Amino acid sequence: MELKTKYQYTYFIYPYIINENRYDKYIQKLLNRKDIKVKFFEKEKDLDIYTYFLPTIKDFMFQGFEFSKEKANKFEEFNKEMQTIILSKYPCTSFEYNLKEELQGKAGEEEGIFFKIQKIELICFNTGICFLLIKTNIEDSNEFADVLNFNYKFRDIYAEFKELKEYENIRLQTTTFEDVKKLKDLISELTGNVR
Amino acid sequence: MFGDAKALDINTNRFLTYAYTCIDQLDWNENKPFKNIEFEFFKYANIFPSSYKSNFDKKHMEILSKWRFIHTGFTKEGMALLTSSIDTHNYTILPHVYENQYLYTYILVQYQKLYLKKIENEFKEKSKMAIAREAFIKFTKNLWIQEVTNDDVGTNIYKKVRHVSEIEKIYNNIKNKFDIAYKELNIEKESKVNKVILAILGVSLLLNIVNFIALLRMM
Repeated sequence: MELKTKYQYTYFIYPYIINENRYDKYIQKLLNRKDIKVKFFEKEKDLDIYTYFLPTIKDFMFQGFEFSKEKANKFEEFNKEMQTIILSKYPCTSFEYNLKEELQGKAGEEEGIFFKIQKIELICFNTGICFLLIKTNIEDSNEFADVLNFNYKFRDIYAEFKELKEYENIRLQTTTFEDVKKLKDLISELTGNVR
Repeated sequence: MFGDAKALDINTNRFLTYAYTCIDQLDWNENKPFKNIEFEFFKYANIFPSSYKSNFDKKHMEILSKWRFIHTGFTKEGMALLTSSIDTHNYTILPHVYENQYLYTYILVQYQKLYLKKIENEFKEKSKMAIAREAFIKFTKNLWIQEVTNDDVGTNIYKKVRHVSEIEKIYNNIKNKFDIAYKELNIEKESKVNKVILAILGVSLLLNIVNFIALLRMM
């Protein structure tokens, strides 16, 4: 059966661990990067999230609701050390990676499946447990089979045992990421992992 | 870095998959029931390639299908929502809710699972046992017993992700270990107290005997 899609996206989530005692250093490392910025949640902009979660969970996961626009602006004026001290005290902090352009890629054998990386986010808990989120969507295809094959392939691109050869059919076609190796390097950089 | 991940038994080779797909209403509508596309849904929810032809074991997955044209599959490796464009809500509002409210609900459960594993790991070291116990009590009070949302679907998603992730099992396992360790600690404490009481009684008896002898001599 050949199903057709109307709209789709997939988030790939990578959990990783930072030594709790070095959590503040990790936060500072992220803050020092020019391509990373803190994600502040705002009551008006993120009203759906604000009204959906009950107060305890809201306080736990979304520190930004405490930040008024003035407070957030003031935060930006602090130096990185001060920003680190402030953020490390919150149970959870989210960061956005600044994608210079939407990333297009190609995955698959023969003709390949084109895809975009729309968004990269980091969610860090001050217990040292963090998550890297990569939002993707398929381009130039409305075949449901392509969604299945893409999800099946992409979730293993960071696999330790995979040689580069196996990625020849998955190529990211942008100036930012020339190939999957570059994306793997970025994941390693952001998560502090060494492969 | 990977040492920490290995200690917590985290799969560092594979991403968790959180997918949303709205298929054309021509394939799923009033006249074309879900049953026709069920096998495709199982492949999607289990993150299998399109070429997969074998049967599925439904025991390892959870399904939420409260509405006719929205089905969500949950496995240990991900969560996948399949819907039909028969209703405009399904490709306008739903994708937004799915990548905000439900995504953060999913992340929260993944966090709970990893944090419990972290506590379990620390509990193995005797020197960290007290810290681990304190963390476990705080976790129970602040996160475990808390409701996440009043939203009906959100509550269902929260329950299903928790169930399929088997975190109740990890939680109960830690709780049992703590109970046993606590009982052992109490027995140990009691036995120490008993020994001290016995020693005091011994000393007191000795003093009484000395006093008694001294009294006899004086008489």
